[in-house]
This record gives sequence, C-alpha cells and structure tokens, in this order.
Amino acid sequence: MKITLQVWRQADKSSAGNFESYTLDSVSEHMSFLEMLDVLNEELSVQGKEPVAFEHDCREGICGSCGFVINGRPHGPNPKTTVCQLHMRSFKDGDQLVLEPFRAAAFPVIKDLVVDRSALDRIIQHGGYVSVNTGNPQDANALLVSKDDSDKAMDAAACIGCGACVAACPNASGSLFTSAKISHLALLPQGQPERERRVVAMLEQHDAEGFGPCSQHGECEVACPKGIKLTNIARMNGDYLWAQLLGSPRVGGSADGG
Amino acid sequence: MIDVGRIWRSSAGAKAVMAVSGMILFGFTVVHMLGNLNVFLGREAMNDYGAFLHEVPDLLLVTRVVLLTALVAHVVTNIKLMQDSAKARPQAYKVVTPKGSTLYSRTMRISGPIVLTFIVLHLLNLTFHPVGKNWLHPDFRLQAGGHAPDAFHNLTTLLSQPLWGIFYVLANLGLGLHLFHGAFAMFRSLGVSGDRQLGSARMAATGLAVAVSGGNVLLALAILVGLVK
Repeated sequence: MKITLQVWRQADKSSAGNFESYTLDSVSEHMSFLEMLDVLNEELSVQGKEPVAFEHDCREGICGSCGFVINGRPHGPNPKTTVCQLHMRSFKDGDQLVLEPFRAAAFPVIKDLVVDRSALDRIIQHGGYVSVNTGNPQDANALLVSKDDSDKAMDAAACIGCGACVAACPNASGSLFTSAKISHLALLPQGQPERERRVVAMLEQHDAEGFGPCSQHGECEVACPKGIKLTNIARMNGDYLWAQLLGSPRVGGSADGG
Repeated sequence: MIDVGRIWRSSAGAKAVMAVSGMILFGFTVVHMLGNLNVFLGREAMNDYGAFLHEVPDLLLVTRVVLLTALVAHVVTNIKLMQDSAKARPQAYKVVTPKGSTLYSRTMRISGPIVLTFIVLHLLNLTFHPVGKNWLHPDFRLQAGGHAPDAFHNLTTLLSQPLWGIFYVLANLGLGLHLFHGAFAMFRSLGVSGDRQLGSARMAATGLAVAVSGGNVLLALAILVGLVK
C-alpha cells in the first residue's frame, strides 16, 4: 500500500522545525508503524539524508518509550495501543498521515519526533515512592488489602509513563500521569504514611514543570494506551484538597528532595 | 495554617475554586429558574414573588455579595487557568482530532463569555433601574407604591421584542452548555472519585442543567411568541 507521510523534522532543541513530506510506495499491512518508519529511514540513509528520529525500546507496548501524534491522535487511532503495537493494517492505501511530536512546554522537542519527558521523572522524584524500613520482610498476608482497592491500585499502576495523556490534553496537563502515580500508592496501606505529603509535592511539581490544569475533558483517558481512568484525577484532587485544607501540618514541596 | 494563595496557585486548587464558585452560581440559576416560572402564573404571582425577594433587604444584600464574590472568583480564576493552559502548549498541533472530550467541554471558553455578557445585560435590563427606567428600555415602570418594580411588565415588554427575546433564548442555551460541562467536571474537581457517587451526582446535576436551560428558554419563547403577555 502507498502511504504519504508529513513528518515534523527538527534538528535539535533550539532550531525551528518544519514538516517534510515522504511517500512510501510499498508498505506491507503487516508492518508495525515503527517498522514502516524503519523502512523510510533505510531509504533516507541510502539517499544520504538524515533519518527520522523517533523513540522506541521494547516494541511490545510495555516500556513507554515510543509515542508521537498521528493525525491528531497520540499513538495513532487505535484504542489502548502504543504506536509500536499499531500496525499498518489499521490504515488504508493512499492514506496521508501527519506525524507530530507530543506538544507541550514541559516536553521540549529533542529531535524530530523525540521529546524530553524527564519532567515526568521529576514528578516521581517528588514523592512517587514509599519509604520502607529495612529489616526482615513481614508475612505477606499481614497487610490486608480489599479486592476493590487492589484492583484500582493495579489499574493505576499500569501507567507506563509514555506521556500520551499530556499530548492529548487540550491544556497539555499531566494530571492523568501524576494522578495514576499518586493513586496506585494512595490506595494501598504501604502508601498511607506519606499520602498527604506525596500528593502535595507531586502535584506542585507537576505545575512547576509547566503542565496545564485539568479541565476534565477526558481526552487523556481515551488516548491512554493502558486505559488509566479519569477517576484517578478526581482522587488526586480530593487528596490534594484534603491535605491542604484538613490534613496534618507538613513540610513544603521543596523539602521532599529533588 | 491554610495557605489560600498556595492552593489557588496550584492547578487542582484553582479548579476547586472553579468548582465551588460554579456550584454556588449553578445553585442560584436553579432557584432563579424556579422563581421565573411564576411568570406563567400571571402578573400578580410574579410581582408578589419579586416583592417577596425584597422583603428582607439584609438577606438580599448577603445573597448578592455571595453571588458577586462567586462570579468574580470564577472569572478571575478562569483567567489564570487559561493563561496556564496556553503556556503549557505554546505550539499547537497541525492536526487536532478530538476524541473523548465533549462539544460542551470544548466550548466552555465560548459559552463562558456568552453567559457573562448575558449576566451583565440581564442585570442592566431588569435589576438595576433605580428610577424605574432603564437606558436599555425606557418603558419600564415601578409598581404602584413606588419602590417595587413591576417585574412582570418589565420582563414581558423586554422579551416580546424579537431581538431581546432571541438573545435571551440563545444565551440560555449557552448557559445550558456551560452548566452541562460544569455538572460533568465539578464533582471530579472536588475529589468525588467513587463511580457510584460520581454517577449519581452527575446525573442530578445534568438534570438540573437541562431544567435550568429548558425552563428559561421555554419562558423566553412563551413571551416572545405572545403566549404570555
């Protein structure tokens, strides 16, 4: 099948980018989207041109490395699918596809379709962990967790940190990511001691990184390859308000390190 | 101590301000719409209702102060949030394909200013006419006795003019869109995360949004086409 691509090309962080058009005449429907780009890059290399930079690692949909925007949809048109798991059979002969990097002030473009997502790591550094005393492990059944909480925590923990939620959000908010990372700890007993401090520090770091506010549009939930739910954001909002209005006195965000 | 400034500066805190102030204003529109229905009962019922609202001046003043505070908080916080979100995405996408968001969520920035314009004109039309006249409409009159305005007369003369009538209908449809997204978003902004609680709260709020918009639109249409005069 024939596919025409309009790809965002940008040499580095400081240069201005622009769209370049490429046509591939014999794309197999069995190729993954990234394999199709591999073929394009092979052709570009042979022609002595700079290949299109895109991020990828496992190509199994679990690492969170890949991701760019295809015709206005992060990771492409299929639900709960990362771009590495998207196959060309989802498109048809003659399709025109516009490939853009995730657009957000907090995600500066490094090159072409590769963006710097270390802002997400810094949010984690501000409290996305539990502090556990060393010593012998306790009995696995000593801490009881209800099935409902366990399911919700596991669902939130499925977040691979790809950043599609930010890309999809009209406000470029990182609320879905941040709330997933807060929720999967807030729902479990191990996350309770630091729950209030965690939500304040992580949410304020989210804001400091330049992510926008959440308007509850719901774009993120649809774009998320792991089906992270919008209710996590509601839980984060509630926890934040509780911590700020009714919670125990706590140190400021900066005292949390990072 | 509670650090109000810090909460307001945070994205979740600002959204909570939007939710609480929006909830107050939403609640007001429900009561206002129910009061409006007195028009269908005739001149006397409407004017009695108007007089009843003015019976305790202190209560009226407190209500107005609360509403004005909520309105100012809603508008000012929204300006901050819009700036934050514009800063968060300096470069727009070439192709935007919405999926998951709703028409009313995406049009909040249009429906909001429509509602605000409507509020200002509506107050100038029918509330602040200290000498019984109004620069937007000279035919307004005070009720016999001097202080209470003839609300029924003022409302029907205003809305029977096609331009004003159509504007009131459109503005209330805009209000409906605005409340629709409000009903959807405000509980989440305030931290209601249980599926069942969220479902019930949103269903109730959506029903009220339909009632407010629908009630007001019906009323304006009834006057516009001359069913009520």
